Amino acid sequence: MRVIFAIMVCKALKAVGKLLKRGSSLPGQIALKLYPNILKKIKMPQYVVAITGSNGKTTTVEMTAHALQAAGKNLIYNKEGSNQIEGVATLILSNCTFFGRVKADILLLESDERYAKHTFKYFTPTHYCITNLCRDQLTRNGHPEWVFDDIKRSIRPGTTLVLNADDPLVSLFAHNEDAPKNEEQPQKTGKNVWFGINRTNTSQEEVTAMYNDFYFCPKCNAKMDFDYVHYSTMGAFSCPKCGYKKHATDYTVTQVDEPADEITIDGQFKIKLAQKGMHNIYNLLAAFALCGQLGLNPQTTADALSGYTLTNGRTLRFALGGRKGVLLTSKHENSVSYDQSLKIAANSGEQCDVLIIVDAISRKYFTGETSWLWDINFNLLNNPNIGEIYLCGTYCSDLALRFEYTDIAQSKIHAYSNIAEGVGKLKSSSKKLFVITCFSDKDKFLVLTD
Amino acid sequence: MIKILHLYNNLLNLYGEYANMVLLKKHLADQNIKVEVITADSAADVRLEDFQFIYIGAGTERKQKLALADLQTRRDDIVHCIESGTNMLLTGNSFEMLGRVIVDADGVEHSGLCCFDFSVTEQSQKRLTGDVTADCAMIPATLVGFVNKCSTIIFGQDSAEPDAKPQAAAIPASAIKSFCTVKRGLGNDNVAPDEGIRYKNLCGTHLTGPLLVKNPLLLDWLVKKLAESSDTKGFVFTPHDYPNENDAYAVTLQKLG
Repeated sequence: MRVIFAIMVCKALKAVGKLLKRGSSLPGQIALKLYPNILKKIKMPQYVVAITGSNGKTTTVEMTAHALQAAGKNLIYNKEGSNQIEGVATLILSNCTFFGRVKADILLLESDERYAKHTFKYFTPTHYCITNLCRDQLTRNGHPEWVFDDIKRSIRPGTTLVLNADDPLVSLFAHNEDAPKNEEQPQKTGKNVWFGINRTNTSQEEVTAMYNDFYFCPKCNAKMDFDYVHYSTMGAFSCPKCGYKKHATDYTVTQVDEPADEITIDGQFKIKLAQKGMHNIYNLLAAFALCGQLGLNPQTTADALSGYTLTNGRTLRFALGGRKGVLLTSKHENSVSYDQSLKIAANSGEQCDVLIIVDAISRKYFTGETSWLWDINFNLLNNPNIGEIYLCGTYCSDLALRFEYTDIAQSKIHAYSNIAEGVGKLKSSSKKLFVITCFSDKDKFLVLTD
Repeated sequence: MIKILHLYNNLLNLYGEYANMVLLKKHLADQNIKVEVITADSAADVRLEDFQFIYIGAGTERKQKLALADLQTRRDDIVHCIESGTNMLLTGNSFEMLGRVIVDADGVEHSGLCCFDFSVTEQSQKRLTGDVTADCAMIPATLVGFVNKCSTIIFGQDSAEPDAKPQAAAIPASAIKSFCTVKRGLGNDNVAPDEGIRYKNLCGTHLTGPLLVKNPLLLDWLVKKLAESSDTKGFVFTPHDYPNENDAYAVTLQKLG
């Protein structure tokens, strides 16, 4: 009875919420209050697929959902912002029968990397994809190893892990089938599925980011080698001492054709890229791997993902005065995300100006912490393509100070704490403009565009 | 000529700590003081007593233990540097290495360097983070920063486990000053406002990241201190204008104040 009641309340609140256009996690939150173990009582579908990691969760979920829907699969999935247990409960309970059976063949979940350990106490994913772990919102998350420990606590035996073989920390999540049985910690076994990107024309020979969290091997602490690096510390790592290295991959990007914006997976499946940047190739590959594990024909997946434009709007086009431009939504407190955006602007091949806005560091909490600016490789903008660099928002002086310690000519740098004033100065030119900022600040720019 | 050691720059570098060295080097150069910054992955690779300033930044809990194991081999040299008045700055969890013991979240005890009489206990349940404003005896202005930790630091022999073995002579709690007194944010024991440690010319603080970048007056204080302790004859501090540093500080202070 309690199950039915909790489900009814959740569905009713969800319906009211829809009418009021209110947030999506409240119905689940209340259902969990009424019956904390409710998710244990639900009959889950054949496939429960979870995706977590620092970057690319939402994009990977959206791409996977799109390919599964294109193949005619019956699935439900959560949208951005409702990836903690309350949001997950809302999704599940509002999509199940009154007797607690989920009305779908596949449940696809974006899962918060810190809170997955709570969610998966109540049910176990059949497939669990971990995209990457990097320095992300350290003011909230501590550091990547802290997040690693949280995710580790969410992994259960029997779940198929779909792992990024190019990430030295994510690779440590693999089920260890050789581990001796230990009474306190039962052997955690399950299948490991690996995805990764082979060496490409643009691979670097070593880590070129401002920091290398895998300078030392995370297993044995010896100095780590990298055969090639795609960005940050993603690539073919190998430890000369203990032998820890990039695992052989089951799903592989075998070619990246940058001029044509096309990739080849496993030597035969070609996919047109609608979004630039190596990070987007990882998201695509993770989605491809997951669909493969769920039994989709790889050609069907490739066709569905080819040229697919995300609806979550991370890349936006705009007009400003006589200019055309692209806004690259990046994440404050996340240098990997910034570096990727800076590379897109620097390698665009056309003359352009760049505007960077740091006004509110987070939209969810307050902090004045700016040390992450020193983790970003702003020197990527030291490129003949790049003209003027505008730094706007509350923290423009922190940005300007950071730029003092790049090789970029100081005469190109213009700082304005008032965003409208800075943007006003930009209107007179007709040169292309790249805008790099976070969710928390992008609307402050977009309201000023035409 | 001032020789600076940035120890464990590849191991303990979690919050942009390298920027402290970048700005310190620039500011010393602006005072016409020659400066050399040496980085080292192991204390065994350098002679600690060769340096006028030693800096260590913050790391993850696991990496801090690796650094601690390495530094144990140079324990006597560290004690000598502290007692002989070498200028030292340890930010984030690196100064925890100087206490008696660090008990990790699994309850494992890692012997500290026993330079100072305090004990550290880590936990894995809750990350303790937050912006900080503080009074600091070295500067006539409010100190700003950020704390990002999972530990509690307790001073005095009483804090040790009842069955703790008597350990090497550590500088008693009564001789240790705090680095700053927090007005906003967390102190050593997450209750009282006392934050960090100061003894002779050593400063240890849980404030992470580019502390000297965020606090222009603290950087000035250190520059003067290093200049005066160097072989530069008749040093006179020349004020320079660093508008971005000053503006960034003013904004942070205003936001936190």
